[in-house]
Amino acid sequence: MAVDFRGHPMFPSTGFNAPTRFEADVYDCEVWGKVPTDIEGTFYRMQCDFQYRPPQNEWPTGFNGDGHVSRFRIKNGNVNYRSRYVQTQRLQAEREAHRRLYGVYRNHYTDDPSVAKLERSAANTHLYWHGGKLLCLKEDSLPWYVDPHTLETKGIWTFDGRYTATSMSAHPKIDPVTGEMICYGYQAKGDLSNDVAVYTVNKHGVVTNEVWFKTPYVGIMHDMALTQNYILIPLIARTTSEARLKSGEPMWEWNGNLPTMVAVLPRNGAAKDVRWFKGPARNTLHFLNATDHPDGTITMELPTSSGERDPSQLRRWTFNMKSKKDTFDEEVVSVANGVLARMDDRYLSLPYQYAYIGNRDPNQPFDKARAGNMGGFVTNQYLRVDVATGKTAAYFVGPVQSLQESCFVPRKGSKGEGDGYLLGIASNYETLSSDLVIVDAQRLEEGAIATVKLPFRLRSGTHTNWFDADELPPVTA
Amino acid sequence: MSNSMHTLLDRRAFLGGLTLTVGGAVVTSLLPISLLQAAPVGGLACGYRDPCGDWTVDDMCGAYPPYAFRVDTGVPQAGRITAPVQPVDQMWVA
Repeated sequence: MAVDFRGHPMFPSTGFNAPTRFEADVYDCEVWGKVPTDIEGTFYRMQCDFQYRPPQNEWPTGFNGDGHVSRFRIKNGNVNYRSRYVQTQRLQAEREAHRRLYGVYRNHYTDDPSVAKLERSAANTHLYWHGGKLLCLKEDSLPWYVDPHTLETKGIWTFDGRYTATSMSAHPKIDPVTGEMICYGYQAKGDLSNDVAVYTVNKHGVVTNEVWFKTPYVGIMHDMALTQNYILIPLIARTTSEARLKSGEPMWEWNGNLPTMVAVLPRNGAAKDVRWFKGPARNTLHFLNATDHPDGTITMELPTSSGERDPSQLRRWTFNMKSKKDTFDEEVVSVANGVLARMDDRYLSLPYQYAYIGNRDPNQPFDKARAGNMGGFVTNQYLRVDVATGKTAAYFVGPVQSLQESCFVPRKGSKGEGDGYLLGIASNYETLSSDLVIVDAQRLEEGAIATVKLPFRLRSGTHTNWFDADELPPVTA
Repeated sequence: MSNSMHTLLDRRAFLGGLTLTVGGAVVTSLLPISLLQAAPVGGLACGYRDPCGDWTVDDMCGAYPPYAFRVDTGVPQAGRITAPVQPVDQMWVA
């Protein structure tokens, strides 16, 4: 059966977001400007790609595509690019069948019976280097891991059998003080279960603590936040049910009449220590950072919107651990409307000052004649937001581009928070190609100091990460 | 599948209609919590609308522009290219 994406609502044109469907190596990439020599390491990026045509009613976010890893290795101002698919059981089975076998997003009722006993992961959401493994994560399944340099797929990782949940979120957090990774799975005993399993993994990749607890309803728990004392896992009102799955629909539907619930668990605590806070339904998926305060409160900053039709803002939720109040307070930090916020991860779980967040500024020009009519749907800025004052600085990418998620990279000898660079992929809708842009994070207004040119396009990606060369194993011939 | 079978889903219009019928006044009646009590930047109110355009629940996922948004190719066409073409190659030339 030949592959044909035409007529699918997720692929309405042959434009930028058509499936990419190839792997590539580009040595000594073309660079406009100068790649700083005070960074050395690898910028990783994940993309959901589609080898085969999904069902017509697929969740239009595209998050049921195959995991496709890009890595930009940077040293001495030079950049080598490589991309590879994560060779999941799913991808291999579909290639063998020459067609899509897995149904709509997280709905096994829509799968072909031939894959009933296979692992379901598309390994397509995020990447983390921890404990000597580059984990490729998808929240409905266990991690896959790949070689950090060759991107060769190694297999499924269960932390030597000590991770007993059936899934692991794509958004663990790594404590910069201890090197521990705090990770969790939800629907952790299989689809529709209301079980959460939280794990602490030491810097060597060994599980040191495991906590199981129940959620008040089955909803999405896509991301978490971490402080030095607590783990926060919000439960968001995108819900599902057996009936919905049996109807053949993708897993999630917005259910705004349910509250947002946030599980707050002491680090190394037990299930009995979990405390739930609630608030109005909030449409959010990604959380920036959280911080303990001497007065017994925890603050957490996050992009969120008030409902299914409201744009996102950067807001702050406050939890009073000394009060018996079971609700959290909310305030607006910034009108930055991007939904993917990043920070200097050396300050994760600690007091911090800056968020780096995509933004759409309608006052900036967009050249429809050159790039086509995007209807305003572009991320044309990276903003640095001072989370204490709301003050912003902006990098404008240009009139024919849109930015994907950024990642902060500290420069060698960095003197403090924010002393480094922002790296991110810019989609060029005029040339249908992608660039890696590098911006001085303390001088966003001055524009990119380097633009690494790829001779092809990378469709919209999911998440990015950077790992310094001295964190990764040495490159061997 | 032929092009004649294409059925393009206007996801935003679809979800917009769905919102009007299902979303409604659910949030305001939820909980006795005082939210949006402070808006240190820009003096925001709950009614803030994104001047960039429409918004759907899936836009929180971060794939931007959304996969289902029609993206024009955007590449300017330079006009018809004229070049000598051998008869055997004519079939490849529009």
